[in-house]
Amino acid sequence: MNFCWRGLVTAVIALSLGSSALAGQGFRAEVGVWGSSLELQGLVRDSLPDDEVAGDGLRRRLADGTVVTCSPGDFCRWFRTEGEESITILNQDLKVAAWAGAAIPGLAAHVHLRGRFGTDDFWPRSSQDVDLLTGYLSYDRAGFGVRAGRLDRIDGLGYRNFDGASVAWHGLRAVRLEAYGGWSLAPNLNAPRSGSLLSTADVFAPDDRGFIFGFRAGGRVGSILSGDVLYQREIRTDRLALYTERLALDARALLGRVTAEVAAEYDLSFENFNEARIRLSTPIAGGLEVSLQGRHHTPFFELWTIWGAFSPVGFNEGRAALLWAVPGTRVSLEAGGAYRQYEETDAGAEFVDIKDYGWRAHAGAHWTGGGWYVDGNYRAETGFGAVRYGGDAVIGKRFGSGAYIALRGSATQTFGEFRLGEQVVSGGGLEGAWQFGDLSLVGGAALYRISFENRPAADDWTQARLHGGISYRFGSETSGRARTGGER
Amino acid sequence: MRRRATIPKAALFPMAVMLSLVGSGVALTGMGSQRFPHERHADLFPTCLGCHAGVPDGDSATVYSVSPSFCAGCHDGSVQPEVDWSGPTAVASNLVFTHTEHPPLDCAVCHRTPGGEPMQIQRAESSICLTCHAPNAEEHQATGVPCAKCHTPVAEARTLSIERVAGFPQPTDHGAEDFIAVHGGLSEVDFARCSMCHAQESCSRCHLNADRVATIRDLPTDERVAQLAAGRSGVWPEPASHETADWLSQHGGLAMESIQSCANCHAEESCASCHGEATPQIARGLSRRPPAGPQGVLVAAARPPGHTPSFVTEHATAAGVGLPNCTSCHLQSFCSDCHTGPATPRFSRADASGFHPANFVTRHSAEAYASQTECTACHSTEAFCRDCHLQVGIGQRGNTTGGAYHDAQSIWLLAHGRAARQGLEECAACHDQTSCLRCHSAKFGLRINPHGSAFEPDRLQERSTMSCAICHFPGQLDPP
Repeated sequence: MNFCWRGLVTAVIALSLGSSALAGQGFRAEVGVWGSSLELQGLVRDSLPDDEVAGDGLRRRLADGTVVTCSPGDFCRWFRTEGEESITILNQDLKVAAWAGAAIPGLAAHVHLRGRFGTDDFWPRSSQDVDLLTGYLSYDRAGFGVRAGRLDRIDGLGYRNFDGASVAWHGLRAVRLEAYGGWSLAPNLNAPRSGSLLSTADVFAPDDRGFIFGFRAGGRVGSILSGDVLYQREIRTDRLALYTERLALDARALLGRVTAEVAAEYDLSFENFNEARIRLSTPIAGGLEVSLQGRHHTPFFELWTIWGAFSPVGFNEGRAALLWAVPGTRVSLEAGGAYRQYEETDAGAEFVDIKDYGWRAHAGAHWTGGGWYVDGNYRAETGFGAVRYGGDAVIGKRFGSGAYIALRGSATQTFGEFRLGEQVVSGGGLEGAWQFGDLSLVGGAALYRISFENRPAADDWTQARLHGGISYRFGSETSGRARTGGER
Repeated sequence: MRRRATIPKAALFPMAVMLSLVGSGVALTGMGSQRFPHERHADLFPTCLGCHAGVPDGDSATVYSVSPSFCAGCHDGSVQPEVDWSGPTAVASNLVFTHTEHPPLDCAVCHRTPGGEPMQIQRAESSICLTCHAPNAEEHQATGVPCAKCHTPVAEARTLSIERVAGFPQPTDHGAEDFIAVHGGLSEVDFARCSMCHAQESCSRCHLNADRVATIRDLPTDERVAQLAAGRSGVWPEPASHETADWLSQHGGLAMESIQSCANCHAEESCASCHGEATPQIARGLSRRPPAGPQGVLVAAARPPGHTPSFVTEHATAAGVGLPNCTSCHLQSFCSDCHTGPATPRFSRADASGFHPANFVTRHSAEAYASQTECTACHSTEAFCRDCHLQVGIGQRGNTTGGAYHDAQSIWLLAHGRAARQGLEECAACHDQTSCLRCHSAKFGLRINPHGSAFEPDRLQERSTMSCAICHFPGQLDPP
């Protein structure tokens, strides 16, 4: 079992301190269990001694056409499929928000706990694991707010959580300042970098947890312009090395009917923009809305890995999308496309055929009426590493809020990963959801046929999928407004 | 032994109604009692006026000019069996019909059973009234029938019990699918028809703006209707206009044109659900939601126009600058539901399929290579992507396989450098760092330099000597 005791203790202390004040004031909780069962096909490396494979050279073919890679005097190797592995994922979520009400206005406690108790560990983190996603006390008053415990953040650097505290000041309505700090957590793991999750995945995983601190300043000019600047640094607790040092800038402006967005993430360690983006979107006329985007992207790697030193290159991309809500009808249509060009790599042999560009296109239609809805879309995605063509379709019927039944189908052709042959996935299933007051149920079943072309060592197979979940909300409300798990 | 004749109870109500129609001339009061067997007495009482002498003159005292004691003249137990007929009693009614004010008709026109003998009588059917008063009407309660000719509004029929009011028959057109959509217009055309059964409380059960609608205001209030409406939820079917694809972008203009059409179902708070503090001025034309009673349509925060289908992958900037706005509709856990790795289905949405398209696990490679969205925004490369790829057999620790997996390239070794520079994140999803060190470490092996021409070793060394030390001995590094 992998569990971050420090995070839990922090949360328990925070909640305990708050509980005396919170007694009888109000809380809202949601408990949910979600399970999924599916099958995945395994792949194994096979080999034959070099002299047992006809031909010579590094690349040969077996009798069935399978391409093998040979090391002279050693072995010829290839990958073949080997049966299907069944996976069962079982997650349990507990979310609690409690508030002190009039006793201590502005004081609240929040916990989001996730248990992972699948029956198999084939899927990552599907067995015997409890995560504290968040667990903190918050105290919000006009002009400032304080949080302490296991916090999560959403800002220009994305979503992440850490153990510590944050102080936000927004005494002037148009200006917001925030500082935060504490012990950092590995991204998307709810555990320290020095924990077992990373150390079992990588021999060079950090052996020291790390501090995080950051500062954020944001401002607004009416409803016309809003912007946000963020600096964040993560450093080992022994201060021997940095993990990350980054800046982020986000700005959004409403220029008449045009919405302009600018975003940038800058890595101070390698002095490059991981993300630089500008997007313009505007309704034109007759329900038509267009958006145009220019983007630069370079992958970001933390400093405890060697990947950043391998000089990864980025790409520049242009993207356009159209959305048309056909006036007076229940139909909306969308279409779009993007083209990206990679920067010069200065690596590999000149004659090697690896694309330095990629493009994608998509088109879709949506209709709704009388509770029924029909969706269909087609997407094409090509690039240097993989290609996909395919479409999805769904027809469903909604029964009030939170209840529906739908039939889904999809067909996808993929090839790439620098491999020969292609894979076709086609199938579909039935799914639905129902709400009984505060009790919600979801479930579905699907069958997919996965077949291969020009890949003799791969066996066609049929994948069965099942998923289901139940959640229950209880407690009181902060106001007359109805709040649900995610949307109000 | 004396025989006691009884009157079937089932016959009592028709009898009462008939008698009430025969009427006393008192607007709200008819007469009812046990049914009198007219047929059996046809030979004895051959004319109507023998027993109903007061009808032509409207003399209520002699509308029923016989009494039970009169019956006892024959039904004394010896000539005829005794009977317990007690005669007519007063029954509440909402009728205004009187025989005296109505042009004289032969009794049989209204009261004789069609095709029957003279004393085979029945209550006067409403269809007989319609013959003259609404000859083109399809039914008694149809639009255009002059209800007030025969009936008083329910609020004026004070003697009717709440049970009688509850039992008013529903006109056929009220069951039509679009009736709620058209009933407002009908009320303006034939207000009297509505008032026969409805009071203000009938409307205010749904109409949040009942006090601002003239036709509703013109209705009287009624305690019985109020009791019947109390506790019943309002009905607010979604108009067809709300289902159009461009509704969100159009609704503001329509609200400006006629906020009162919104006010039938929506309170000011409905607008605030999405607009929050920026609720437009026009919303003040709506009523405030009352602390009790009809709440109107509870508007769940609708998807704003800017939340296009692609917003799910393009919301980073909006989230980065707009957290105060985001939290108008979303709890913070809404973000963590997706961003904490394998997502749980959204129970509160009518689509539980989650962020990725269905069966994404079997077809995600192209999206991953394209970096359209960052896998690492929600997933750990090492503990999620690589862990699964290792389990499936795609990933590999340590030593490489000589390019056996990437069999599309004749000599993968010569190609992998360019592929790695363009898609190092994807390499790391299958290979751990030791996979590269066999050739790219400065400590051992082939010692091939992986750094690009723009690589600045000093800058990296300043920040993390430890990562340099993975490939370099301390003596190989210059002092930072």
